Amino acid sequence: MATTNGAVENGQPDRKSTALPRPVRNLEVKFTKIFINNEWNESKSGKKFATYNPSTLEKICEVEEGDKLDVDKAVEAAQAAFQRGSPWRRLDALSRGRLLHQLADLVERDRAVLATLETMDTGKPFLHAFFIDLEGCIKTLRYFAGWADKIQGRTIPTDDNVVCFTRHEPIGVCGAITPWNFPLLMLVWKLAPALCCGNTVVVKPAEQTPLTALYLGSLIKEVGFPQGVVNIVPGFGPTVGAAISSHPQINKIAFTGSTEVGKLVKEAASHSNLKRVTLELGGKNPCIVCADADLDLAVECAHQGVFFNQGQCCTAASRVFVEEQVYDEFVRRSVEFAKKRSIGDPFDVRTEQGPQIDQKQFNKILDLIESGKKEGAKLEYGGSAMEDRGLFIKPTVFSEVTDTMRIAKEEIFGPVQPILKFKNIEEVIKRANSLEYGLTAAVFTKNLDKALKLASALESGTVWINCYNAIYAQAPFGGFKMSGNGRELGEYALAEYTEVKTVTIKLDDKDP
Amino acid sequence: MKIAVIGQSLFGQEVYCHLREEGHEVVGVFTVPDKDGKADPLGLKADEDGVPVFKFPRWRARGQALPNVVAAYQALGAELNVLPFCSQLIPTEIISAPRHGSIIYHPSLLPRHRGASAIHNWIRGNDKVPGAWTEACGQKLTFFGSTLSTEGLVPEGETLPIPGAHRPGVVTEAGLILFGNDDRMLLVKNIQLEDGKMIPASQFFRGADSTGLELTEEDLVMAEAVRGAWKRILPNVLEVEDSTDFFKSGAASVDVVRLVEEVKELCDGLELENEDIYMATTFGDFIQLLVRKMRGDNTESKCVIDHVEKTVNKLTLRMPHQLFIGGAFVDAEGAKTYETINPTDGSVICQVSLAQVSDVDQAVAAAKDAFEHGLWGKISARDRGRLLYRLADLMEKHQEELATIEALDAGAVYTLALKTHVGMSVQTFRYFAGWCDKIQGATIPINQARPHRNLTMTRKEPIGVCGIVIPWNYPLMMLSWKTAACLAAGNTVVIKPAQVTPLTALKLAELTLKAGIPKGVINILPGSGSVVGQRLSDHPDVRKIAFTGSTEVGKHIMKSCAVSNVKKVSLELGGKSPLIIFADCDLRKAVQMGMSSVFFNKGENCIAAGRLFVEDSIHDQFVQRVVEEVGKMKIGSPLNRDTTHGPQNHEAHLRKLVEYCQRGVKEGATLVCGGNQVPRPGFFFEPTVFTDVEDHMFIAQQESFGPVMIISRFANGDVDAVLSRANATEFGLASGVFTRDISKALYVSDKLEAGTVFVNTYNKTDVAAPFGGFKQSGFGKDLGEAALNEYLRVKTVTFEY
Repeated sequence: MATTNGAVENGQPDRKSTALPRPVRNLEVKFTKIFINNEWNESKSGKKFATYNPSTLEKICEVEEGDKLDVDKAVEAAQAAFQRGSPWRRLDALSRGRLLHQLADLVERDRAVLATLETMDTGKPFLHAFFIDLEGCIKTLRYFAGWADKIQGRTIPTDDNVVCFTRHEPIGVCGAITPWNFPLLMLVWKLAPALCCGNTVVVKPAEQTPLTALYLGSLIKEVGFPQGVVNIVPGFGPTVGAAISSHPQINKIAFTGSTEVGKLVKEAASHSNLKRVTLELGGKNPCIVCADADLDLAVECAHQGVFFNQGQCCTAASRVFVEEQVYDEFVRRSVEFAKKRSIGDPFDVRTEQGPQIDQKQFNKILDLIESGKKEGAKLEYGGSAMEDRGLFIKPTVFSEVTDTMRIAKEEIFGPVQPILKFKNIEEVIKRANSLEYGLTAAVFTKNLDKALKLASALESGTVWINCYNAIYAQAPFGGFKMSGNGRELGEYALAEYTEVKTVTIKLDDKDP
Repeated sequence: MKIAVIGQSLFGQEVYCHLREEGHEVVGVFTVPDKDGKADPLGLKADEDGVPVFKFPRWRARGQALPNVVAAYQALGAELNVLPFCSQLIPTEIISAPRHGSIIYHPSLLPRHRGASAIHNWIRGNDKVPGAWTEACGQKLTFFGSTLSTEGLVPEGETLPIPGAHRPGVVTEAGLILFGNDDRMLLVKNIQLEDGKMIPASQFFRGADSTGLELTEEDLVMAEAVRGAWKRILPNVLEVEDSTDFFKSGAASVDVVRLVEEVKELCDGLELENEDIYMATTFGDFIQLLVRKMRGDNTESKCVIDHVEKTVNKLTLRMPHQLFIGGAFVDAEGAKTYETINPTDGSVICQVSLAQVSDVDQAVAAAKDAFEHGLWGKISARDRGRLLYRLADLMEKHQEELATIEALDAGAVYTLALKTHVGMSVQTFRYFAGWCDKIQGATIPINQARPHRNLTMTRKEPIGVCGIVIPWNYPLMMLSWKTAACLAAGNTVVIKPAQVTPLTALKLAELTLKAGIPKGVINILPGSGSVVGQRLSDHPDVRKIAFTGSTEVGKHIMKSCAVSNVKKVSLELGGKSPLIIFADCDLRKAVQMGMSSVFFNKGENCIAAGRLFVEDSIHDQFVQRVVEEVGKMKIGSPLNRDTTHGPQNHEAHLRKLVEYCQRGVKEGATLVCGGNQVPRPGFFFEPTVFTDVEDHMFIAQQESFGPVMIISRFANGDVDAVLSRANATEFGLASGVFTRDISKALYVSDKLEAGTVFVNTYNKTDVAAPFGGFKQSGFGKDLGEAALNEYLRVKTVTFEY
């Protein structure tokens, strides 16, 4: 779905497809309260906030609005659950894995419900939610379920007459602040390794999209995680987000979102208690198309790479560098693809593109599109909102984009494809690496030398060669430079959720 | 030639078109009346071509041909009748009217209708129903899916007398073989019974298949989609339930085609044969068939299991007792069998197939094919893990049955079997299922060949076909320890359970089918070490042998592996594990653990403490408490919930234990208690304690593998002396130490030459902790991450760019 080479966000589509899944009609939203200690709570302030369906701009429901006091309560619960001797701490690693497996089973059971909620709340096409977001969630949960009893310390040879070994212990209460573009998936990326390692968690879902996280809360309760292990506080960044980032009893925070907010989170983390931080932030990801590439593949991957999820991906291919020999042809074909992209009701199976998440993002994207026009890029297609509908933006393709334009430097987070031209490899390496971002990069070439050279030269956390958005639960994901700190997924993620304790035992020097 | 076509269905249409293509003139088509406004495809096509079409509901009434029908037929002046898939009763005068007579042409006889030359007349006279039929065994059997290509077929099997035939039919593995008057063979694949159910002809004499597959969430989604298709095709049926029969609900042959097409669309292009639908006519059966097909399984070899049934322990045990090769339970070459004995009373449980060399070769070939060409090698590591998880779940679901079989076959105390033999087996499969998608290679910085650069990466690959030979002390658990790691790594396997304890392994084989593990991935061959074990070790296509058993046999296996094709080997062999008890220990715990270190699982435990060294100052007290504890042990049927000590595994072993103790007494050790067979039926041996055992004695050096505690004393405070005595053995499997002194504990654990050291505990093995011996106790590890390496090979890939 995301790309045409078979890989999709966070895994591969299943071998066997079944009949197309259907959304759940007239779905009643059951879970709108703050989830603490496996119970549903009203906010201390009594406030609520509305969540909207971005494709109809209608209010879906009201959700309890958390604030600092609610975060305190959640942290208290999480701390109690993490106390030595608590049911959660006494649980064998193997049983922790079983719980995660069972959670995966329930997510699988309620997959259509969750995908429907996700589509209502984000406006993403239902089939994408079902096949990509939910598939990724299930696979990630199962993958980390398998790790629970395999987190091994080491025994270490040392100089003196000592026995030295390490224990990998959970950190404690972990905060998670998740974005609105893949609400449930980004939560699971954090929740699964955190729980697998034995931590307890306080989650703030994005205020635009709190519904799937809350539903997951009900499943966590149903599976039988001890109370307080997972707590979910919906609310806003400056209140709930800030409270989590600066909470003195939270020992670690994982955040996915903008670089701007990421800086705030890290600052709050260091001001409060030097909590451990992982950040997965913005990107301005180069996608380099060499003249020798399979052009059909490159055009399609670049297209899906930038337009997937309405362009609202941190991995979006938003700087396409194309070698000059094939530049014109690449632009021509990219425009064809953009023209074919079907926009509309996300519940319609034919829809590939839904609305942007909200008015603020919508305005920002249109502003960047205007800047592109003004700064001299050539608008090949699109370039405006859909006339008749709320937050829908036409797939937009710019050619003749140069490095100094805003659309070549700033993260757009919308359906806008800026295409740049390059002459040789050394030049494109330099240009690709010139920004402060470093999340992902993609290379299209059939040449092994070029592929390996670029793979080593590009400054980004991920390099895809002849594919795009090929993300797997088993492979680490994260950014270089200002695209973030730390890694999610893969064995590497375990390091973000454990503290290493070195135990050294001095033996008697005299004979035994 | 002027031809009249009498018949129906797409098949009829195809025959009709072929006849016209060949230049024949079809003068008229007789087909069935429209059903629910739907015209039959044969009639439709003929209509298009302007050929006269007749849709008489019947040709005869009260035994007489209807004159108007006959008249309509005769007016055409046909010189030949062709009856493709004709379902109507055609009067004899019509059949014999044309100059050239009639050809009855049915797809069941000629599934790919290879042309008129293959039409033969032996079914003439039986043309009352579509499909050839006969009466046998007191019921009407209709034949489907027949073929004349029987080259290489050997008519061996049970005979099926057929009235009127000059020679009886033979039910073979391939199907039912019938003989024409010229003795040419015709192979019938499927037989429809009178009740409409179709079965593979090869299984005519066997019972119905009862192994329903477990459906996954995904399968259930698919099932719902298919249920929708059934509802569309069968509008008269209110609810499609598992028992809903496709044909009894009014489906016609054209609906079969439609269902095939619907399935193709709903199930990712899965192509069914029409016969498949006749094979599984109820919705429930149909879904099972689809799931099997989707999992890459082949219905032709749909497994029919001949269970031995026994009601024991308030359970009905259903135990497969044949070899398991390529996903099917089969007899051994020459149908050889042997008796497996219940050690509790010496009775025969059942006959078990005894594998021969040719069976090993077949199993290895099946495993090789599954590895090289099967689904197993193609599915992702993650999906492999899912299958193993599913197997673990099924084992858990069947845990009572498995534990009871273990109690019956191995004399394992039921409660222990439930927790350890079976419980740990389930955990082992779960643990290794989780490893499947975590077997990572490395990328390695190497020196660059300037001006070029290099990249080196390693990949960990499965080895291929592995042979696993396991002992009788923990039949299912030892199998699981090795097999789970072996499969997680992606290999395929041929397993030889111990000859005396084959039944849990065969039950597991059945569960692997239910779990949907592709056929050929796991093959299980009960048999003797000298035949099956030897052939596996010698086999040129087996790339790895994992063995648990005696050191003597281990050496022999290693030699065979070296000589044949330098197989990778891991050996988990005998032990004489020392347990050192210092005076500063928690004595209560030391007694309790010391007891289980020896008597756990009747002493049939490779890590059993073979020698206890007790510090002089607490020696007498320790012995006294141990003897008290031995007195409390409850000897009895392993199925009784309060039994703590069951029978030894088999009779020969019991005899050896008696001799072992006699030798101890003769060499001067003090027999404190036990030493004899328990005077009751079965192979029970008394829990035995020896003291004053000196290092040179036989019982100080050799493994008993039974409930015999061997106690020696050591001088107060002399740690190094006791260490050197503890290490003065060629074995090095496990060891233990009891002390409260941290320095002493760590010092001793450092110095003990054994693969496992238990400190202030014993027998505390865990699926995540590697297990295996030093010295002549073998090499290679079971369990833990380390076990994976035994079943992997590392490939280094180096690039220059």
